[in-house]
Amino acid sequence: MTTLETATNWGISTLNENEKVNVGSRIGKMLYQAILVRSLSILSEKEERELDSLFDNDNTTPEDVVIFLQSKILNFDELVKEERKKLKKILGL
Amino acid sequence: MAGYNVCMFDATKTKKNTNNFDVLHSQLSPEQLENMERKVPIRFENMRKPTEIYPVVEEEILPKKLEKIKIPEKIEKKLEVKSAESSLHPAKEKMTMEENDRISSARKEYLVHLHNYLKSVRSRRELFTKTISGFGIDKQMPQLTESKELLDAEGIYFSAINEANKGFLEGFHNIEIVVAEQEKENNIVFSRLSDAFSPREKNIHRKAMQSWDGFSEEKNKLAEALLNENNVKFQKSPKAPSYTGFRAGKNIDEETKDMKVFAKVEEMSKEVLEKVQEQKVTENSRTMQFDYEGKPVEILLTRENGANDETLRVFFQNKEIAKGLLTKSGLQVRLHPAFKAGFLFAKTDSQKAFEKILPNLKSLKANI
Repeated sequence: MTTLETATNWGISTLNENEKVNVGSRIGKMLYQAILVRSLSILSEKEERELDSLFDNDNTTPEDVVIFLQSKILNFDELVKEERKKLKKILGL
Repeated sequence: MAGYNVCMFDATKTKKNTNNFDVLHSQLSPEQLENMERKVPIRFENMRKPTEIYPVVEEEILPKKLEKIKIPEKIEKKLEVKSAESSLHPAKEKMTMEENDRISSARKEYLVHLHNYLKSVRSRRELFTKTISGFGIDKQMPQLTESKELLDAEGIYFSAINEANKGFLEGFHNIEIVVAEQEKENNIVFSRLSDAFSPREKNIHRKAMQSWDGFSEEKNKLAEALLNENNVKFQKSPKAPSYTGFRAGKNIDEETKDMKVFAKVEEMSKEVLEKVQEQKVTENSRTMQFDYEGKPVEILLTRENGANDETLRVFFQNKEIAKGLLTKSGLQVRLHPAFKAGFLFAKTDSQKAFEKILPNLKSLKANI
C-alpha cells in the first residue's frame, strides 16, 4: 500500500509494510469477489461466454477481468463504489 | 566453615583418642595458620551459627531519617481508551458463542432472501434473452431492484457481524482478525449459494479466484486501485461494443424502443399469470395436458352459457401463448406475436411447443 490515505481509510496504516501489503490484498480480494458476483447477475449470456473464454488464456490477470467488466457494464464505477461501501460497513471502518 | 581455608584431611595421620578438630589444626602449616582469620582453634561449639553469619535486619534498625519517607502504593496502569463506547467492548481474540449463534441465524435468513433474488434474476434474464434475441440483439437486462425483505435481512446480518468485530478493533485495532473472520464468512456464504448460480457462473467464479491467487504483483496493484476511494479508472479494453447482430450500430432512440417492447412483454406475461391463477375449472370447461421436452403444455376449453363456441387457450409453463375459438366448422387459433421469433431467427420454445400440439388441436371437436 503506497497511498497513506488509502491505508488509513482501511485501518491498516499502523501495520508494517509487509503486513500492509498482505492485509490490503486480502481486503482487495473480498472486494473483487463481491464485484464479480454482482456483475455476473448483470451480464448477458453471450458476455458471460466471452468472460469464460478470457480465462482460457493463462496470461489473463485479474486486472484484465476488471477491464472487461468495466467495458461491458455501463455504471461499473457506481457498482464498485457501492460494494466498497458495503465492505467498509461490514469491517466496521 | 568460615575462617578456615580448604585443606585436606589425612586419615593416616590421626592418632587414637584424638579430636578431629585437633587433628585438623595440627595438620595445617604455620603459614596457613598465620593467614587464618581466626587463630583460635575452632570447635563445633565455637563455630558461628547461621544467624550470626547472616544477621536479620529488623525494621527498628532503619535510621530515623528513612522513617519519614513513605513507600508509595502500587500504581495500577490504566489502558488508553479511544471513546466512551470502547469501555463496553474490551479487546478480545476470538468470537464468543453468542456472537457466532447470532451471526449464523442472521446469515440463514439473509441467504434465503438472497437465493430467491438471484433465482428471480436468472429466470427474468431467460425471458429477456428469448424476447430480445428475436430482434437480433444481445443486450443487458435492466437491474432487478432488491426486495425490502432482502435489504432488511442484509442489514440485520451486517449489524451482527459489525457488533462482533467491535471487540477485535478496541484497544489494538486488530484489523487482521477482522479480515480473517470476514473471509471465513464469505466462504460460508458462497458455498451455500451454489444452487443459485448457473454452472457457467460457478466456473467463472472459480477461475477468477484462482487467477487472483496466481498473480502476486498484479493482484497487489489491483487491490490498491480497488480500495482507493478516488475511483481510479482502468484502461479501457479495445474490444467491440456489447451488442452485435442484425441491427448493429443502432441509435439510442432505437434502444429505448426495444426496452419498451420488453417492458410490454413483461407486463403482458404478468397479467396472464394473474389470470391463470384466478381461473377456475367450471362444469363448462375441459382441460388437456401435453408435454414438450419435459415442460408442461395445457389446453383449456371453456364455453360460456348460451354460446355456440368454445374458447381455446394454450398455456406453456403456466403462460398463455395462444388463444382461439373452437366452433362446429373448425378451429381458429393463433400464437401470440410476442412468443414468435422473426423469420430469420431460431424458433422460441413456446413456438416449438405450439407447433408440436397443433395436430392434436386440429383433431378436437366442439363439445356443443
